[in-house]
Amino acid sequence: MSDLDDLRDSVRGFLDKHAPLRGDGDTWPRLSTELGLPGLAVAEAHGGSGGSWLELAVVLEETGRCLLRAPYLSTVVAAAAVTGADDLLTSLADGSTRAALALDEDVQVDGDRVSGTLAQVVDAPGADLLLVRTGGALYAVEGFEVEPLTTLDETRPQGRVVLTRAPARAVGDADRARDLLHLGLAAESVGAMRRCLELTVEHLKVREQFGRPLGSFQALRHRVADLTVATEAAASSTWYAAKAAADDAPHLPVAAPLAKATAADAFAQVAGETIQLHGGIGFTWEHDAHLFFKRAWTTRLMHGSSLDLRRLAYDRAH
Amino acid sequence: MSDFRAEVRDWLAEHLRGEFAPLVGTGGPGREHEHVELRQAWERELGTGGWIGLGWPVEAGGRGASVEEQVVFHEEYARAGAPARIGHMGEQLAGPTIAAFGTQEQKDRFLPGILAGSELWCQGYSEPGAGSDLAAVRTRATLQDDGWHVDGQKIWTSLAHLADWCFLIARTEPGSERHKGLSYLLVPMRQDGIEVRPIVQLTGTSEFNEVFFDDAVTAPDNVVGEPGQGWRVAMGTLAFERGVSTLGQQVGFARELDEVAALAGPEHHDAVVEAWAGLQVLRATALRTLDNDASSSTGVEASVSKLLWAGWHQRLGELAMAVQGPAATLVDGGLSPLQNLFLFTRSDTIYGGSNEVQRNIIAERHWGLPKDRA
Repeated sequence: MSDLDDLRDSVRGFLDKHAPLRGDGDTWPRLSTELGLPGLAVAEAHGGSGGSWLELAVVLEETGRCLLRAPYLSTVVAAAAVTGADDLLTSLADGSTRAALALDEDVQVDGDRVSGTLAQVVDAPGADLLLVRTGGALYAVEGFEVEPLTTLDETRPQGRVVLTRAPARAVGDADRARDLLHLGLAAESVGAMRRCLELTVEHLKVREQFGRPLGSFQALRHRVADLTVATEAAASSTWYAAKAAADDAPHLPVAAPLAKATAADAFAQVAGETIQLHGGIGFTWEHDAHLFFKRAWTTRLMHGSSLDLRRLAYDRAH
Repeated sequence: MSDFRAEVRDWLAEHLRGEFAPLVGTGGPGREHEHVELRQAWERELGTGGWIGLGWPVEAGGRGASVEEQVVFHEEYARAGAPARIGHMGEQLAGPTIAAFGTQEQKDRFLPGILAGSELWCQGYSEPGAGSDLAAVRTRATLQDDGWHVDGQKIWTSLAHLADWCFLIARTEPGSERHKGLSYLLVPMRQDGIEVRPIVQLTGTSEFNEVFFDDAVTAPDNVVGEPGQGWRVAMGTLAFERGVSTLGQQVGFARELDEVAALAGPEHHDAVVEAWAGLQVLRATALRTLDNDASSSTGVEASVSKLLWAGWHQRLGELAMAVQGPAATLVDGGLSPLQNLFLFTRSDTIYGGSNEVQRNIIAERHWGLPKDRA
């Protein structure tokens, strides 16, 4: 068993216990202090564990698997993208700073002040740090007001942020930050769709109709196989991008948007089929399927459509 | 560039010229009829250069090359436009099987010919009544004083008309059923008891054949593994299939995609982008499969990979026609390479385990879903 598998087991054990799908408690303090997860890929000099994106991708698969209700993705992407601001790195690594990312549109910059209206910022409610962009430059904003929004996906909060000459400092490369966000979204999606498949297969083994388990009908078995192929394709794309990030390889700007596009499309397919293959029970509020379905489409609709991301990757590669 | 990559590249540049120059870009799916005699000579050239059996263990006569080196070889081979191999069934299937399950005498007799590129092989598994259901084999063999006598019919036998030998499974225990009572035999192809008839495919060309065995004979020693244990040996052979050649195959895919993209107008740009993105997924999948440290192996990587690439390739064939529009429906002399791509890729989702069989493998082996009621 590899170190990555050990890491996966320990994170899964923790999240199974403390972050159930329907949980509403604040898991962030435990996740930060007991496991030190926010600092997983932060250098030891800044209080982190010095891990790589291969490890981070494994943890993100697990936080995706339980649709974690905490700003883990935003915070680790911020920690990986911020450069030249050691105070921020240290507080991101120990979990005392929670980040939100607004990397899909530009704000206006005037010296060390930023202005703009950010209509939908994931993880903004409760965030201490907001990363915004103008052109290729990444800026950190620490004082801002958030208007919480009601979201279709109750596990992933969003807020509206209006910045009016808010103090900001330049902290790195916005395109790299967005690449890492895409990679992180892909990893979360892979974990989530694996869980969907497990739930579906379990149902097909147990549920009997016409005197036999549903899973013995070839029409259904083949659909499970197709979903497995989509999931593994997403996992491969995500692994490839994570390895590029871990190796600081020049093809990350191609691999990351492709990973997000591949994984978001696959997740939407798998989550939709999870409802269908569960039949009526899958359509109920009580069943967990809709939580995954709503997360899948939120992932797919935000941070760049799949076609736009594939075009972006294609243009970057050619 | 690694020393090994440079070595491969230099050798190919040095040898794929002169008399072999016409071979660049020839052969392969739907085009196996091209330059057959010259490609046989090329196999011997490869053998002399020590490029056959690259990944075989040294004790079997190979080079014991690492997986990475084998991938490099396949990539460079494809990049150079070197011709499709006709010795691959010996190198990738028969040879490794004999090395793993054969006697010392069998290794001494058969492996050198494969490594030299001088003896070609074909695979006798499928039968008219045993396609996806391989265990339904009906070809039978009986051991008499002068050897095994084989009667029956095989089908979809690639390159049978060129092969010197056939490895096949036959029922050697009368009355046995399914996986039991089968033996793995090595049968010489050039004898009166064997007739090879080409199958004309929907491309109009032939590389598959029907092979009829009418009291064909092979020596008593030409059984690999114990008589009756042929299923186990045959499954071992299938496990050797696919793998390191995948990345080389993808170099060819990229070249085809370039040809399609060059003909695509603005209205097809997004479809080209989607195809290109799909090819990146295939590449990532192959690299992840070869990476020993990658976490979460499913055990059904070969089936996942087959479904992915076969589907992608088929869609590329359709796109190749779409970008040409109505003109793609006319034939000028013979099929164009892209028309051939379009037609031949219909077989990608059938041979080597159809999509339906691959889906069953994933459902059963990975997920443990119960078999469909017979």
